[in-house]
Amino acid sequence: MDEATLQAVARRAQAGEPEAFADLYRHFYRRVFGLCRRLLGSAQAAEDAGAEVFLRAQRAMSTYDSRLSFSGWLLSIASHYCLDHLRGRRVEQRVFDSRAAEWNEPATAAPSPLAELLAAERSAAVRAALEALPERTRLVVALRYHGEFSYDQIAAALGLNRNHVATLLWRAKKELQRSLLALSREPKP
Amino acid sequence: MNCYPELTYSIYADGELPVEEARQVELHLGECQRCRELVEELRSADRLLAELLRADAEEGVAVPAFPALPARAARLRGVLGPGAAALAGAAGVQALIAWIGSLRLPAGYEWLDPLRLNLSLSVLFYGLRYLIEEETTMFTSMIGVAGALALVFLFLAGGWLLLRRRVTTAAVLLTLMMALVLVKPSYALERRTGRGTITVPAGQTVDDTLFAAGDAVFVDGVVTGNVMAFARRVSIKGTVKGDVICFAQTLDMEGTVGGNVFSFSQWADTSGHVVGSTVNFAQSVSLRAAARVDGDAISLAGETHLDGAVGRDASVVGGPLDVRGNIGRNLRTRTGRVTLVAPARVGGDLDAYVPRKENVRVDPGATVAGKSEMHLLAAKVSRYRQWKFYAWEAVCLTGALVIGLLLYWLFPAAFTFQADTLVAILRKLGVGFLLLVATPIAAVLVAITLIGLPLGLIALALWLLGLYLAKIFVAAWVGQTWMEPPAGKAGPFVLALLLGLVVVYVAMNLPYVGGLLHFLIFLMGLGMAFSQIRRRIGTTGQA
Repeated sequence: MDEATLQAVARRAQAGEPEAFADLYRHFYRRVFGLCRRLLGSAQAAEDAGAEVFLRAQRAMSTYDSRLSFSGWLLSIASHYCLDHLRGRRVEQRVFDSRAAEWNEPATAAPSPLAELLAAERSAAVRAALEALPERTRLVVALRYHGEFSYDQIAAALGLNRNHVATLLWRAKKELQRSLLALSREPKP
Repeated sequence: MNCYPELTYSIYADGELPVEEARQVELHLGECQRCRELVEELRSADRLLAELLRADAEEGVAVPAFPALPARAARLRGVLGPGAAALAGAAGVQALIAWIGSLRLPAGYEWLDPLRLNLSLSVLFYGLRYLIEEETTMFTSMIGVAGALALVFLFLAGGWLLLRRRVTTAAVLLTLMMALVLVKPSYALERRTGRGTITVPAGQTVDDTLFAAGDAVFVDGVVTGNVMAFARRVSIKGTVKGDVICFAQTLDMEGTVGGNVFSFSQWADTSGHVVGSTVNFAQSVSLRAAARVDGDAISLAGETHLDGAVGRDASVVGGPLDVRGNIGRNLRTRTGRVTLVAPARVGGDLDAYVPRKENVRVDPGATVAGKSEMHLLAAKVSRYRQWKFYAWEAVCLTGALVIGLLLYWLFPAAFTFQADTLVAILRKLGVGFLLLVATPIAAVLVAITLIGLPLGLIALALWLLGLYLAKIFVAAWVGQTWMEPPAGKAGPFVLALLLGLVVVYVAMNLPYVGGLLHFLIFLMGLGMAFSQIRRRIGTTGQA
């Protein structure tokens, strides 16, 4: 669906057409799921979050301004939900559990299309570099690259200032470059 | 022209630089090869991140069927199901209690029935008497506990707002719900309230418990239940078959009371017949010559005159006491002065706690059938001024230290704590409160069945053990938090524990607030123990 078709479908969904919303759901589910998974760090949590986000979106359809991008609106609902959830979970963890979120869950078994582009080890190195980032940087990265949020949107969602967001993103890029560089220098076994 | 910092290029590559600045950067890029390469590198990192992140997170994800309303309904069911089950359970328990209440016990065994109002009240007031004898320490700790309960309630409410989606919250809510459902149905009651005088005239019978509040309450007729009266003046000339509970400035008891009399008044004057006991909290208590109390007479008063007959014991606490009447059994006093004037007669012993020996005077005409014992009240020394108190606390502290070290040796992992937020601490207090309240109740319920008896006893034993260990836990936590430099390693455990124990013991023994702190330490310790055990189970489950 191109942007114009999407807007049209969104308007129909806003008018209360259930089939239109179901179309949006099918079109955006992976996107929302991916963002939630990135933010929450587990597929299980992302599944629950995905269902919840679409429920919220459906209930809030009347507040959607159809002049703006629907994906931006939907992903901002998703990010708000996940950040709230993370806040709650952080409190929970401090009470009951010292272990960090299961960020290190095994990668999906299904073959990745990137496997053809990137050597598996390269992908693993990047993933490891991302995982090693501090939590806040990880959130910023997820919102930027997954949610396609602007600096201002990220700053508002996380309660940071714009310069801080810029610095965190720059550091993440540097970290990624460094890990790829280290990989290329490593002698092959 | 100078090169821009790399951060600026990063922002530029992200397309987030303000237009004017972006134009400047582009001008520079046109003439600087090195910076062009830098921007290209940043862009490629950008692309890589975007591709990898999205591919990694979205690959192989099946789109589940559109959930929409069914999911919502299911969630509603998820809430309603347990809620309805809890309500049904509570209603069942209530029905059971009602059934037990409807059973009639054979005559002579009524005292076994825990649901009788009279008995509950007697227990309450006899409990109060005990409390008075135990001095004020219990009062302060009870006030502390009441305050703590209120606080804990606030904590729970606050915690609920903060952590709406958690299991514990549901537990708290369900507990509250049960408590609401299980509230005992009110007794049949006749209420009479008004500004002026409330009268039960002679010849009238109130076939119920009478609740009367007004300026003056006159009971000249018959009340078959209890009388609860709140008034400036309460006068009972008729007959009350149950108890009289009265809050008044003046109480005149000239009639007959089949149960007990509990009065909180300025002047309590009795000249009638009380089949049960009298308990008076008053400025002045008089039992006139015509009065007859078949049970005990208990008085906490500024001055007490016992001229009438008391069937059993008389216990008097407060200001001066004079006795002219007949006391069936023992007379126990803790008053400034005791005077027995002829024809006073005490059927049992006289036990008097007085500041000076001369303050007990027994007239030649008065008799004490049993022994007369006088206990001189030593000027009360504050416990903080007695070395025994410190020695004993030191012994307790050493014991706790040894046990704490032993535990640390056995289960070192149990003593690693995370930094807690305020919310986490409140939550632990909440969990601790649940454990503190729920464990004994559950243990008693389980113990009712024969098979459950050992289980219940074990649970109670564990609970008591937990109460003791709570202090040690809290102490270890306090000590470690205190001693640990923010980023460094924990100091030696023994020092941390000792420091923590000293803090905890001092806190528990502070005047006035010690009781409350002790209670909070219980809650905190139980909550912490629970969270540690839960964490432990979680870890082994993972392994």
